[in-house]
Amino acid sequence: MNYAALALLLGMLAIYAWLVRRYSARRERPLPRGHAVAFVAMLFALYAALEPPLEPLADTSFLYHMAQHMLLIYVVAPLFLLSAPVMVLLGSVGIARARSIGGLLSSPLWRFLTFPVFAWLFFTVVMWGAHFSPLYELSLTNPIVHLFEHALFLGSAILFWQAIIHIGPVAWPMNFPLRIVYVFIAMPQSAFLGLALYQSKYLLYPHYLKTQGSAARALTDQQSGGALMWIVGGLLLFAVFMLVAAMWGRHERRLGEQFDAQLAAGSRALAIVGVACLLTGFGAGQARAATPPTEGEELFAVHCSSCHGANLEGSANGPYLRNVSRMKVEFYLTTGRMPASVPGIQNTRGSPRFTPSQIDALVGFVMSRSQGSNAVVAVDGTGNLQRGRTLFIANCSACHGATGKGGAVGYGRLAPNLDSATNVQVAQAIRIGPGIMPVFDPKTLDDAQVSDIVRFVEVLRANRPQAGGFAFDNVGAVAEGMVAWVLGLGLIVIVARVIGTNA
Amino acid sequence: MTIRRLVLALDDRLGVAPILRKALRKAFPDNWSFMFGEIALYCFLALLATGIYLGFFFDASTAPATYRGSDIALRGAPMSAAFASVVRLSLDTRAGLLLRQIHHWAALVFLAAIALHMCRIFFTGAFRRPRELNWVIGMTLLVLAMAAGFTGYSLPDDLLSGTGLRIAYSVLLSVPVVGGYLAFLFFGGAFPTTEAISRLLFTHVVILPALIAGAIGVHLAIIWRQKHTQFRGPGRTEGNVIGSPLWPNYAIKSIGLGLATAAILAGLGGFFQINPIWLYGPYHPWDVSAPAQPDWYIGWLEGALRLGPRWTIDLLHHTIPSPFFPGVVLPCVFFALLYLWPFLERWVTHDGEAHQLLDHPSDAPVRTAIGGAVLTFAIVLTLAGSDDVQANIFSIPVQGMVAAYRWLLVILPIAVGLLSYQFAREIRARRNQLPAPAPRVAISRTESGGFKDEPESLPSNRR
Repeated sequence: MNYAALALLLGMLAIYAWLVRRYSARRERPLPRGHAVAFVAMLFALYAALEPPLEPLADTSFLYHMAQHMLLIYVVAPLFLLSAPVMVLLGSVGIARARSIGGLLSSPLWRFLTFPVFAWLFFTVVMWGAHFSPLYELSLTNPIVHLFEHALFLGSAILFWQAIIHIGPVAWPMNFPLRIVYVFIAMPQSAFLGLALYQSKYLLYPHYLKTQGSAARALTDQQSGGALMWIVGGLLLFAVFMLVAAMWGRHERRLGEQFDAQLAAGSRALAIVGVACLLTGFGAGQARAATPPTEGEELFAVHCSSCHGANLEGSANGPYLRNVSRMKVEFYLTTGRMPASVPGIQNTRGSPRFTPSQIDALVGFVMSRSQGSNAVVAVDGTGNLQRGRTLFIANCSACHGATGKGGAVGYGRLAPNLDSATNVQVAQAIRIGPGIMPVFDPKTLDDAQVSDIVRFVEVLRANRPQAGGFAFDNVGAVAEGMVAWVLGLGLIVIVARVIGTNA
Repeated sequence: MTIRRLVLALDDRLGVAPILRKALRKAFPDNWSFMFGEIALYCFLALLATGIYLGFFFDASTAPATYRGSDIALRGAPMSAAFASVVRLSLDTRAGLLLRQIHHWAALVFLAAIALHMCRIFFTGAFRRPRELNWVIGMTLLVLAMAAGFTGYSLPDDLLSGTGLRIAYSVLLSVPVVGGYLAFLFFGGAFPTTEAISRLLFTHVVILPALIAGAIGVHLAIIWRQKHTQFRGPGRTEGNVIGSPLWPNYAIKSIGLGLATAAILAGLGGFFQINPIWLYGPYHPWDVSAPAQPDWYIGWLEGALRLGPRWTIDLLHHTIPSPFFPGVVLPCVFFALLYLWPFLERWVTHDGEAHQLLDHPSDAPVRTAIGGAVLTFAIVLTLAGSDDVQANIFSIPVQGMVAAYRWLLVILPIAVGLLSYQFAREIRARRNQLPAPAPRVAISRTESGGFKDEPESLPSNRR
């Protein structure tokens, strides 16, 4: 018995249990028991995979080594995801920490890694690359490389499975048909790799020649390992395939039931209103609740009310909107910052989710319920460019940069690049101060000064002289230093290498 | 033909033929990595040539100026004559921007070539006796080149360089007791001063180029006198020099390298924008832009300031402000260590022998490990100097990056040092060991698809 490994596993269990307790305390409801069961099962599988009796056998036989790897890939990795690590972590920490973790989860790097196409390809490349490169043989002789190989298998498998196991926040949610396709195309990949190992006439890993005693025994062992991957791996993936299909069916049935329930509730509400009207004798003008909702109201109910409340009263996830200004609503909707994907994380610019007419409808609905200012910005393009530049440098460049390319302003907040902002949006942002940007009210910058800045930003975006060649998006000295090293000195050193000798 | 006549005429009057013949036949050991220093030399020549042109158009004055050039947004903005002259040079002078960009790119590559050359010298042990003196001169050249780069970067008086100058002023101020006097001495008053630009110009175009040219002359003369080092190889001993003669072999290669350097620098200047000061605008002490970075070779000092601890110490009624430790102490220790390295190594190893043969980096695992660790330390500092840019690109909080870089600054150099020590030792141990040939055995396939050993072909039965 390896006490160090046991202590490690118990430590992991203790951390998980501690997080679950905090989660339950904060959320005021316990974590569904299934997640904890999955975690404990994952620990058992991990122990089975990496400790005796399997581990010593795996050192001498390809078959058992394959069994070990398949435990890691097909059992440990999915069980880990089923234990909802991200959800438990996010739920067990305070809002500030949850925000910084959420920032990492929505960072471009993480979004790239978890993108299903990348995850699938990465998993496939790791599987094939590990078996048909010196890595495997090296891992048999060097324990550190072996550890690295296991980490690589486990990591790529977790990336692979996270694309279809959706618990907690997911960067790239896939619908069920896509998940089925995802698993389906993984089946031949795994089968062909197993088959390739099974069919090989050559001993791929000379290490087993020593441990198996004879070449024939080593080859037979290799064949069995390939068969295990081909058949058992294929069956496991097929089981997952069937499971996803079954879940799809259940999901559709539930949607149908929900729809039925809504219909029933709606007709009941109508009936109540109708009865009330009859009883009180109110006329048609009082029966507004029964008239069909406007487009704006409907859009708000579907896309906004879960955070901002059905009556704009706000919730833990989104602010009160009863005093929101027209500029604010327009700015957040036209820059695609609302609806937000994950509450609490800085909303970044995206393509608007609604058409201009839908945005008008939403703004109209919100402003009909809000006491906030109805003022709009007037952008007439008459600003003074030179004054605008001076004002921009004095008021905006500390965060957005003199070139308007944006910058980091601390605690994970970013001042965005102004390249894609329209003139109206620039003026609105100055007035409303979205996110942590300060509000510049008319006492600080009058309307003429705002239109000066708008004019300068317009020129900054489009017409500033970009003389001198390729500009690296004005990143500045960091890009220049890299170019000097790679393109400058790098090329010259290549010349030196070509004309010089290696004596 | 002309050369022959010229040489004959010279020989007739000065009697230089014997000296020249000997000089032109001097042997230079041939290795491509011996040319890194030459790259720096050619960059310096490119800097001189382009710098002379720029000098004709630069107005080293902080007097208010009115800009009337082609960048409409800058017209009428309050700015210094220095800034206005550089914008005019960049946007309204024939070939002005091209030569300014070549000049700036050449400066970046100059420093990069010096750094690479230094690494080559360090990791091959070329600085050992009798070449300690030339190591010290080389280090001085590095310091002078950094100073020349920083003063040149500060001349245009734009928003970015003004910010850099203010940081330099504040770091000077942070020196205990004499800081205020030092800052006044260099800047001629409290920042921003009217003298700064003209002093920077004189330093940049007269003092530093003269010192660098002089130091390069001594550097090369010492190489000539001491002869170049060589790698170990057949026939090479501590007592001989095997290589190509200076003329024509080595000289032709070197001239080719010089022309290639000039071509690549001109290509960079022509195709890639560098330091577009008209976009940054003129400097005013109350304006600031972010993210802001210095040129790459100052990046490690910027990084040190960003990572430095928040220690403010009151000692005998003198305040030692926190920038003093990362801004002054750290670079002083760093350069002292580099300057003294040959003597430190000799003191530790008791190796006072004269060495003409170079080490392979794996020959001296401890030196290689320390070099790798110090290099890693400098690289982590440089990366930390652009943490805001990385925060912006990768959407990571700046505070987290600072914390991570503080840890990395301690952990990574140690890890790299230990790893390079281990690698160097293993490479040294394996150098003369050939790998054992892989065993080959014959086996046959059974009809059911299994495998069977061929008894007569087992390795033990083979001859």
